[in-house]
Amino acid sequence: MSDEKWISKIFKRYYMRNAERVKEPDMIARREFGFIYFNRKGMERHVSFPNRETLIDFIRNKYPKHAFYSTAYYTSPEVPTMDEKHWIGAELVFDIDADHLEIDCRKLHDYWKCSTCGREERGIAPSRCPSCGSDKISSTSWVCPRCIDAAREECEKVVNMLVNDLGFSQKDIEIFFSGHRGFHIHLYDKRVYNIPQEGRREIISYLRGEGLDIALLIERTLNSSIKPLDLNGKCWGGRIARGLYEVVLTSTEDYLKRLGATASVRRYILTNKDKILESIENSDWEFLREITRLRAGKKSLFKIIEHIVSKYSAEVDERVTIDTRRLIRLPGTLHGKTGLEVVQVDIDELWTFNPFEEAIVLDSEPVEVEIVGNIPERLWNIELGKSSRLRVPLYLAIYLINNGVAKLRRG
Amino acid sequence: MYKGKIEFNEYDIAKYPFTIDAIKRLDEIGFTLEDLESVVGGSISERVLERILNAIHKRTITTDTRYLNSDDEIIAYYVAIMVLAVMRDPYLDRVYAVAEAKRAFEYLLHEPLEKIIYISEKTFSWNIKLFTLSNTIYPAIYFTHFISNVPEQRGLWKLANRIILNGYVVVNKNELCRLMESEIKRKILLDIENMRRQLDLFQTTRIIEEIVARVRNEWAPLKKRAEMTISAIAGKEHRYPPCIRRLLQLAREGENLSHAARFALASFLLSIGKSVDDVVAIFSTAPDFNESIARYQVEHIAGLRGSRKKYLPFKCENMRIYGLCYPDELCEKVKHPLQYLRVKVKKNER
Repeated sequence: MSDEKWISKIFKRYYMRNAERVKEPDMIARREFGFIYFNRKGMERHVSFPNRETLIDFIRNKYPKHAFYSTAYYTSPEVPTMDEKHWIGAELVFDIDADHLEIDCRKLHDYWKCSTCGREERGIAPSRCPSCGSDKISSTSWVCPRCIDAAREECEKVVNMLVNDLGFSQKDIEIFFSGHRGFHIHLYDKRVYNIPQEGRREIISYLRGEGLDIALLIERTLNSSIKPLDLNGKCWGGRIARGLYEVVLTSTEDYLKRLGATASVRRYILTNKDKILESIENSDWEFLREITRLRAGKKSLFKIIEHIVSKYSAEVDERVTIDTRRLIRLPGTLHGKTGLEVVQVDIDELWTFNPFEEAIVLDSEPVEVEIVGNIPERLWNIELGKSSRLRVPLYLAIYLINNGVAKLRRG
Repeated sequence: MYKGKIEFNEYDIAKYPFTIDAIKRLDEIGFTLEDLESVVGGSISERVLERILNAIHKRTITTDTRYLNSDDEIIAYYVAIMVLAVMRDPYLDRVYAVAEAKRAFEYLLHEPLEKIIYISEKTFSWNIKLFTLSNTIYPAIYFTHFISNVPEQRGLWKLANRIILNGYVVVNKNELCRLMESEIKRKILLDIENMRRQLDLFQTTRIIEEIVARVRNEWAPLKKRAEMTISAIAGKEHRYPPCIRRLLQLAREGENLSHAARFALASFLLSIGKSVDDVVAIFSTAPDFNESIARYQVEHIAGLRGSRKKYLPFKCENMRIYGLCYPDELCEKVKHPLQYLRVKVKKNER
């Protein structure tokens, strides 16, 4: 029995008892489903179900490795061509994946190898091998609590902007742990279903603070009756206003220097600290004009604001949001690579949610594996050590085997 | 949000024949295609033709005050839509929709705010609220209407640069009218599309066929010239990055490109050695084409005017911000549209 076959049996046994955990999307009959199976290449698409029962039966009988559904609603989700499916609308979804974030822990646990020259190293895989320039690079990546924390942070920013800036109700937002390295945010509000691709792209742009025109913002604040910079504002103007307040409040020579402020600007801020804070509190932004008149003042100010924007901007995978015909993981199913469950996370419990407890649904009986590749020293709160033979919980064995670094020991 | 009673009279209906109020009036009139054959029909037919030819030649629709409070104007609008439906030419549809929308925009600018809000709410189901900021009342429109109708994605048309209150984007009257212009254009295209679907249900009459024939006569040579110039200039188009190919395609279909889109296309083509004349010709299909303005702008980008600085095309990052990036796999390897050409050529040589 191959390892893949062994894993498939575990999935089968799991779904036999737990298929009911699957959370079907609303208007299920209007959705397209897609599945990837064990020992079979490619994805079966254009599957549709009239109701929850047929979906549950299907999952139980076919125990897919990966299960997805369309964020879009179609008149005929089962037909193979997109035109004939007849698109009605689509949820607005955001995918936050630690894979796309630059985080330090990846230098510790990720690993890559160049297939051309054989160079191998810990860290984020480069697009080309620094030794031979080849682009044939294979990599193993792992998920750890710090990856999840980084993803949580982005997730929180997105939810904040959806609720505070764009006025959505928290009850129309659901967050799911993706089963791997991040979260999916689903927004169910009929007002968003018809936003075309360009509009969705603009929403991403907004979350990232892309295209923010700092000169325009300052100019309008100083010279127009509509003043974007506002300490109580709930859009980017508010965020930048609060960011400036915080920078001034916590300013030291060193900090301002690090942000890129020139000597004259640093002197101005440090000597007028209290005065500036008071002006900001009173929505008086004239001090910005004074700063721009200083030597390289405008440039310094822009650098400080750019720093604030990057701190608040949310990093999401734009392709998922923009693509209105995308398939996304079906909540309540297992992620075929990790064996973790795609589980709903209460917005209020985002920071206390622990995927390495709450998303582990497979058995924890010990299994012997042989280590055949590079593994991190610690994984999912379990010390792995350096031995080439390990006794690990079954759920972890699946993750190690799927990542190509372990083989099942039989006997 | 506008609760009060608003007067929307015959005059308004003539100005805004695409509104729900106009459709209601059309039903009341009980106009039939046979009526076109009558004496009154003669002047309406003339107006239908004038509307479409105005759109083709002047890129907007002028209004003779003769029609301004008459039912004839709204009948003429619907017959024009019917003529376009029969002609089945998406390029002409767009030219017409842009011209009608521009006409409406010019009128809207002079309307009181309440009337603009009335139309946007009743005909387009927009959600609008009023907010008082620094003692002035401003309309604020729900952000989905805003992002779906911005003429371009930069400066104040970027959501990030706006004041948003609970999902509502604060705008001024001028901006509100501009956003409505986009929505009106879409509505007119939809009207034509819907009419086209019903074509099987009625018989076109002799008069309609006559108008179609006369429009075709004037339109065909213009269309052909535009299509030929673009194909001739584009040349090795398959090597261009997908963003530029898309813009060329849109230009070919007579789409009204945003300023940023025009800049991206013009600067790219100039950079790969196309002449100012060639690039100006590409824009000749634009619904609001004005040769002397286009030439001035292209010469500016080419560095022949103003600061004498030759502009480089946007890098990929900026293309993305302006909503112009439509990447394919090869795009992962490049950061600038011009790089794409080089990578593509190299790849083909391999």
